[in-house]
Amino acid sequence: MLLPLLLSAALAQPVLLQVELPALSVPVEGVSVRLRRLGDSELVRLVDDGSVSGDLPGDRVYTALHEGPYARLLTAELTVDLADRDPELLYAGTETLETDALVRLGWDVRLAPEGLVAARTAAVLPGAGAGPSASDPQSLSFGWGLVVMVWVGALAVLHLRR
Amino acid sequence: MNNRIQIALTVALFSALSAAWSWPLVCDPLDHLVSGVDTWGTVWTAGVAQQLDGGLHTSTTDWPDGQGLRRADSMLMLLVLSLGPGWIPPRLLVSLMVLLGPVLSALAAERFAVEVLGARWPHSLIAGVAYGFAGAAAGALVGGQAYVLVNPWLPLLAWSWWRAGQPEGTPGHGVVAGLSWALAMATSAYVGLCATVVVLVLGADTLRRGARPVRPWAGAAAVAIPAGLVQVWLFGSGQMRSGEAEQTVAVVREVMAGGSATLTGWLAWTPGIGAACHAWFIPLGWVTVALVAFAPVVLSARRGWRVWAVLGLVGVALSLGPFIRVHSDFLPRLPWLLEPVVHTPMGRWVRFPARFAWVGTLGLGAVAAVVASELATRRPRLSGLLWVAALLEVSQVTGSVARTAPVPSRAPAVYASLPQGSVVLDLFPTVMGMPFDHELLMADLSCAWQAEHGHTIATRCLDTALNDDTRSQASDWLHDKALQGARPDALSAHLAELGITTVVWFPDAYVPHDAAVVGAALEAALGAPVAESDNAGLRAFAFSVR
Repeated sequence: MLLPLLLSAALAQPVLLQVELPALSVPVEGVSVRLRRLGDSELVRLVDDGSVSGDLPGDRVYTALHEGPYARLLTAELTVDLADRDPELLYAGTETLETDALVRLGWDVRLAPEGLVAARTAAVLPGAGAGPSASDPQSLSFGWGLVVMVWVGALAVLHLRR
Repeated sequence: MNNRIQIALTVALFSALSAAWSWPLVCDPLDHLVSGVDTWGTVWTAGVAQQLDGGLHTSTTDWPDGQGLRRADSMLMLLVLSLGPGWIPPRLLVSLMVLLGPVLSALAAERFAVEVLGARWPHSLIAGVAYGFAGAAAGALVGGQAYVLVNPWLPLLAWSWWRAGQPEGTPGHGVVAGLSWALAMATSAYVGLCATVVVLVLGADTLRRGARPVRPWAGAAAVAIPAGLVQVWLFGSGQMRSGEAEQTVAVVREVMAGGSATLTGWLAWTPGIGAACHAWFIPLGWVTVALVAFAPVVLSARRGWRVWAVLGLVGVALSLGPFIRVHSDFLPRLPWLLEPVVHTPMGRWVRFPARFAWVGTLGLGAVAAVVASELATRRPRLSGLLWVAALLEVSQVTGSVARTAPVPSRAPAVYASLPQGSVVLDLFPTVMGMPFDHELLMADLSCAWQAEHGHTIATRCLDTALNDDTRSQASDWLHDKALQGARPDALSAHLAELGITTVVWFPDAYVPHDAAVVGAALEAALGAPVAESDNAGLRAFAFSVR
């Protein structure tokens, strides 16, 4: 009984939300994503003040970390609120999350002639930061590979000398 | 240490490695599975094996016609599980394949390295780790093809076919080789192709040596030819996949390239590309690569190992498919071995050349084990740690744990409340454009859950394109009418005409506006939901068709 319980607890699912805004002439009053998991709706406010681990303050990448129960399907609506304008819903879509590991959902907001438009994009936090970067597994693997190559190479040389 | 103790220790070590490799599956194999693109289709196949009407046909999916299973990837899994007791949950069977399959495969490869190449225990464990846990095995874990992990057939084939070509070879060796080839072919068409590569390379080596083992080879042919003809007949007489005859050469080439290995992918994995390209990053393991790299130096005075190195190199070379790619597509592609195959009718069937890496890890793993054994004769302490490193590195280098995640495998509880004999339309939206994996996943889940709830579903679960079964056509019609605000009685009448008795609707799969409109239309047409649930990571509502 204990292990399934522990596993269920481990299935709490973190979602890292990231939105990159273009340089705008009007102040940004708010960037938010409404997430729906298993029918429960929650408005998540994204910030660009560096309070989320790995975020650089003031780089126009708005970020939030949200945790909730495991949901296979998650609905996300992105709204941007600019000064002197009504909040704009820029994106609504569903995500398939067949993993309990950290999921990054990123949007790239651009200024088009008709106004702001948003597109889902594969996103990572800028810089290596404190967290694992996307290339860590490969870097680790090649580093380990070098160690093994030297190890076996040295053994082979010693083998030949005898 | 005697042979039995060695085998017992080997099984214990590989079992522990298997638990770590697929962690945390071993903690809860009944309710959580390692999710991969083919995991849910495999669960369905394991389930349908216990529900066959006879004649490789099931009427429980693809309502109203049912569907044939002659093109199932693993006839062996279908046949073995159809003989089982029938009460074991299919999701548990799949978990057991993931947990126990690599142990069996690795043990076979380890014994092969000992018997054929003279590797010494415990260095022979390197051969088992390479074959059972790295390379294509890691790809099968991440891809969800659990049945492919149960693959002792290639080592058995390599052993028996090699023995058949020796002066002391007997027709019995040939029969075992023929049987191994047939079992490989029945495990999966790709494992069968790998087995054919083993036969061709070792056969060519036998002829090169001037041997003509007519009787052993006749023994192999006596088993393999009838088995192969049956397999070809089954496949040829199965249902045609929609659109498979329409693919252009360019499409065939791109599909094949997407399922091929890259040079860096043999050595390491990256999360982004692993996810985006169906995980064809199939690291071979650095201990294996390093030992094989120094084999010409260390084994210069030894005979009999080169053919296995050639076999392994042929396997990894074929796994590159139609192009040599360094890493993904940002460097130029160089045409490679399978480019000519793109232009043949066979091209559209060889969509995942990366799976030829099974041959690579079999041959290279065995050679690596011999190199480690040889090094240990002079430097036992330093060399003795190599097999420990091979055991420890495999989960990290292949990313088996980091690239997978346990997700709930139990079906939504809503199905349990439906009356016997229900015909269910699982309703989720159509996904436009390239990210059809989203819709494919839902269709696969629909099938996997069918294996548990046992009701008849409108979803087609094999040989399927997403747009031509009753599920997709009825769903498209229903969404169109619901979003247009059609009369409620028209919706219920159409569903009743199709023979659908229950609609199970998944609102989480929709954007909020469409969910509200479709939900309201379903309630207007069919009344309030008769059941609902929110387990399995999503909400499900059952509507009875009046």
